[in-house]
Amino acid sequence: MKRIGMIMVVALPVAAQEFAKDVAPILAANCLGCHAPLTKMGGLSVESADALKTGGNHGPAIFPGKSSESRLYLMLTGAVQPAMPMGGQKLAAGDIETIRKWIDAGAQGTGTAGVLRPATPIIKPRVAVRPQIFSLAQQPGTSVLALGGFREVRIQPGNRILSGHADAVRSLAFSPDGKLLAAAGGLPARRGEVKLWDVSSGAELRTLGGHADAIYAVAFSPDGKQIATAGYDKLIKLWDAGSGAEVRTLKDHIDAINALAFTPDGRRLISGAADRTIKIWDSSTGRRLYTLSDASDGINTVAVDPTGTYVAAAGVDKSIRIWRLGDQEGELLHSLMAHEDAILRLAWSPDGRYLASAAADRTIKVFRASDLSELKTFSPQPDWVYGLAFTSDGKSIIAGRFDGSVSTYTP
Amino acid sequence: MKPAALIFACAACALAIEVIPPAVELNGRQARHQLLATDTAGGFNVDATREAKWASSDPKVATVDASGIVLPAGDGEAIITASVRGRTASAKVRVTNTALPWTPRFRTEVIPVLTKQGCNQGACHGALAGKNGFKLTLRGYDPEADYDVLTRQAVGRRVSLADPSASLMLLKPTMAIAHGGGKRLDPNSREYRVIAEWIAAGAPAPKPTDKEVVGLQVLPKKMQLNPGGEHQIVVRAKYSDGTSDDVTPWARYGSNNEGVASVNDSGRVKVTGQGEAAITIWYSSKVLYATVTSPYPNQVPAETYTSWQRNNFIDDYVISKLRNLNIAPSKRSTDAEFIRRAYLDAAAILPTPEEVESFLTDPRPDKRARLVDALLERDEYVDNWAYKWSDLLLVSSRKLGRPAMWSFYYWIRDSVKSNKPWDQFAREIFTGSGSTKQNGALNYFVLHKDTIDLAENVTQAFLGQRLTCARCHNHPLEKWTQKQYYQFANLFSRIGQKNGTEPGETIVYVKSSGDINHPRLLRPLAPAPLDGEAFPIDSDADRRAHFARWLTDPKNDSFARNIVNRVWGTLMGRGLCDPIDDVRATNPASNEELLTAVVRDFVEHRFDIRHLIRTIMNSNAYQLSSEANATNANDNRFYSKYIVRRLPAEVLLDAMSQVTGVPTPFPNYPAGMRAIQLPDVLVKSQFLTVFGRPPRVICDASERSADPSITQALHIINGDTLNRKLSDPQGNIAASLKLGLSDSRILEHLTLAALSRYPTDNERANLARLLAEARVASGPADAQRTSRQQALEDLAWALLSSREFMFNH
Repeated sequence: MKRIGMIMVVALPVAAQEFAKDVAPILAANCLGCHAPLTKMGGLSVESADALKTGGNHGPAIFPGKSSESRLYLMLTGAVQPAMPMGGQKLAAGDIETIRKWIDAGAQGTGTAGVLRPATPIIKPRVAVRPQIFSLAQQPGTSVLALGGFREVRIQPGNRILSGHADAVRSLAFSPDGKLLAAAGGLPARRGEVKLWDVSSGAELRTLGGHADAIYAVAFSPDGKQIATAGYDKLIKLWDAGSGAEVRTLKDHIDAINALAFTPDGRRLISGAADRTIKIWDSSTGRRLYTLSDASDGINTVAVDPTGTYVAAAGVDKSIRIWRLGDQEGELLHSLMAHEDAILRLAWSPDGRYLASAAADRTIKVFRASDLSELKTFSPQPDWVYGLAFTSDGKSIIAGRFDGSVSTYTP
Repeated sequence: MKPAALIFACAACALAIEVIPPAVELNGRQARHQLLATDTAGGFNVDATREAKWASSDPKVATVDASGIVLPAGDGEAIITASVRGRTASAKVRVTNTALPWTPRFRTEVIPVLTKQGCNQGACHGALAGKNGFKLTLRGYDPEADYDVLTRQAVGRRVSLADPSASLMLLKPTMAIAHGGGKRLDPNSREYRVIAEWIAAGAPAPKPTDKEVVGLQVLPKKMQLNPGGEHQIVVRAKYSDGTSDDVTPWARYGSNNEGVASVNDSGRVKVTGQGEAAITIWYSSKVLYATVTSPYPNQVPAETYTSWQRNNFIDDYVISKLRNLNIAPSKRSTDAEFIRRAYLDAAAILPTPEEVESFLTDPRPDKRARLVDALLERDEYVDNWAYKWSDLLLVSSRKLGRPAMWSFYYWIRDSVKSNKPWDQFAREIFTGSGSTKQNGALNYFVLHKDTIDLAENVTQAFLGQRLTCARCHNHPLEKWTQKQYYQFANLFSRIGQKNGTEPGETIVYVKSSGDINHPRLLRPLAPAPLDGEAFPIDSDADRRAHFARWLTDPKNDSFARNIVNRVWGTLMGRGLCDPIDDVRATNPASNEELLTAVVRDFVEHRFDIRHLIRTIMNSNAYQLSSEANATNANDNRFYSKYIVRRLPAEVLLDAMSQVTGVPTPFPNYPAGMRAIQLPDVLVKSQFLTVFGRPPRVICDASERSADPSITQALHIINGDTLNRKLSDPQGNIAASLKLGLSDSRILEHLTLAALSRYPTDNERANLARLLAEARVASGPADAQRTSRQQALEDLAWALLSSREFMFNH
């Protein structure tokens, strides 16, 4: 036995398969379609050696050194059913052998199967691209605007550019004291990203990662100590604003989360998602308190009134709904089919009297918050409005549009 | 002599090889066009495109690759030449606008790519719920909605204008990042470039002024191919601005007969068997087909075709098709076979023994035509066809009170009796108003109170089209769009109904307001017939009148085509278009020239149904034997023999009643009424239900079932319907016993009555022996009589449960 062991030890470096060079291409070509970090069928990602060791719903996919016990190998050979690739052609014997050797050699290696992608041609814009606006926020107490663009944030007035973002900045939030700006986005279908900026100096303080897909909503807690993020990966994460440490992850939505808001007392966090629900969380424990499920289609936006008594939400079902927030449940007070297409954004006026909405029907409307009676329509908007806010004085509405234009309306 | 010979030789070679299309335009630097070299020598099409050597007269204008694909190089004209083993042919190419940048259009380029790559198919992002948060309209029926989803929804997730190659829309389908739908797009493909260039151009939105696809062209339209032969087809889209493009790679293909020919995703046709197949083509909600013919390997002498008896124009088309396919027609039916089928098909009754005998002995050469004429004048003819139209119009007491049902039925029956032209029949329905009791036709609207239901029934019953898919999205296989659907439905949105003075009476009237909204546009569209002229939406005139004018216009092919195909299918056992109620554009007739000719004749004779029936029944094709010959055993599409079919439930029951002389009692209907005379399908009859009587709930020919079942067999063996008729003391068997007829006379009479022929010598001998054996020959007279009666009942049972009786042949 000893001799054999010795031979193996000697043989190892020679026969060793490298994950990035030898294994990842096989996995990328045959498995990644279903077992990518995003799709994760059966709970399994084959993206990296670590992901394989973590495995899926049936436990680890590989046990380093033991191919005969590794589900990856057994299912590729058909020894464990269903044989993989599911419904597809069995892998070439040589490829299975490569994987077997790699597992038996200890399943070493870094890198991800995802990086080994087919090269796609670089395509540059052929026409001038006007900077788009994906999000908008106003600094508390001032008239300074932050506009979320493609890979950058613009601060107005002054047209200062905060750059270095991975992709579109899809959500913006100033800290309650106005000193910090959280700019969230990330690479769709790959990773989330939040950059924290010092507004006055324009210095980048830190970058938060953590999500497996782009972030669609970011919010500061009213005391400025926590940052909440959520997005297409269906997760909500709470971060320590000072250290950048991830505090906890809230899991319960079953589709992309599009909106987040804290109540003014900071006790609750409210999330709205494409799964048609609004969930109310205890922000200190991360416990889900209750769910509002009156909407008949995905939620795009939520807004909490300044007193923290009501929450409004709207989305694909073209309706605005307002609930009274109770301790154990919410009470639906008003529901109105308010637009002719999906509602994109809601904003509550600082005095709580008005609710503004922007929709894909290219209108902005203003409603009396107490009964949702329609007061005013601003139309037609030249493009979708993804940035909507009341000015700090509550007298005007600012609309930032997808075509890059900004308008201020005074109802 | 010599020059003439030379010219002749050149003419021959010019005929033998051809480049199609003979002239193409390449508009813009992205354009491409497939050319085909086809060799038509020997009556077959041989695709020589891959074998040919291709050359361009001016590579600075256009280049051509080995597969016949022409690409632009610079503005100008060039000649593309294909050489195949010494023979050459050429096509002209005109190249324009190569200096302009390429801006793919969303509607006519991006959407077709997404559709061809399968992105918006029902199993992927075209699903009602989309996939992974990304939802496109099914096969791109709503470009505007898809545009918003791709460029704006989910905060512009899918398209990056500032960095086009970073667009999720390109990264996912190429599998540059994980994609649950697998690899759908090759980064080196033209399809990739369409999307990439569109984004690079700023992802321009579809505009109402964009050119639209107005039609398709397919080349070649008809192919006669050898067994195992392959042929590429070329599909061109014609646009509203008069230009056209080769869209072969982006069209969707199907074969209506995979056993004859199959087609792959790129439009390459492969012959897999003998017969004829239609290759259906769908592109951008436009449809078309090409016909592939692959003759059977039979040796049929030419005179089989040349000497075949032709009674009228139908026979010309039938025999020409059979000749193309190398199928020989079966021999002519015997007079006995003919009289039985003629009675059943025209009047749904069997000829009496006397009628059979007199027909068989009639020496006049035109006796068949005379018989057809006589049948069309009979009341039973009226009963039969009134029943068929009642099937079509769903007459029953399910939704109508009995008086209303009767008034509807009588209107139909009177129409058949007076041989009301089919256009007038339809017009009376769609232009009438007032009391449903006085005008029975109006009950049609009582049956279809809902606008949507009415619109769909109209298209099914009078146009042979299934429109239902287009209610929610453009029809995925047909040309009908959702917009057309709601324009059509809006023709029927102003039909008012109120109670009349008598019970069950409804007053149908035309309202001056009311519209049906398009579900996405949330507004009504101008009412318009399918591909017809729109009616002003603000007019308060009767929209139905506009519809009726369009419907019954001799130029509206599908109106006549629908009814002709139904009548043809009823008489010939299979519609030229099959199924019988499906004459949509992508379901071509098995003999399109024939159907066109019959439709023309029908319209020329002012929609005369009786003329149509007479013409078909007088054709030699109708009068062929059902027995196959060596060449046509597998044919059931080209009318080389009479197609055998089981008698419909009502006809079968009536035939049993007729042969036994014992009518079937129907509750609440007078004694002696035949099943085919019933106005209602809710009349209780287990027999009729078991043998496939349609419930008349939806307008669909498949409501009537001709499928065999165990229950049917049990019903014949054990059920009391037939057995009661056989043993009825008032019945024919009892009567013949009373009359003291001999066994052989009774046998002859029964056979004539049931099978419309004399028993064969064999049958006479065997059955006489069996009857004698079954009888008690001694003992009390009663027992002797009973045993004889039972033996005769058994004989009759055997006859009436035989295939020969239960089938029309």
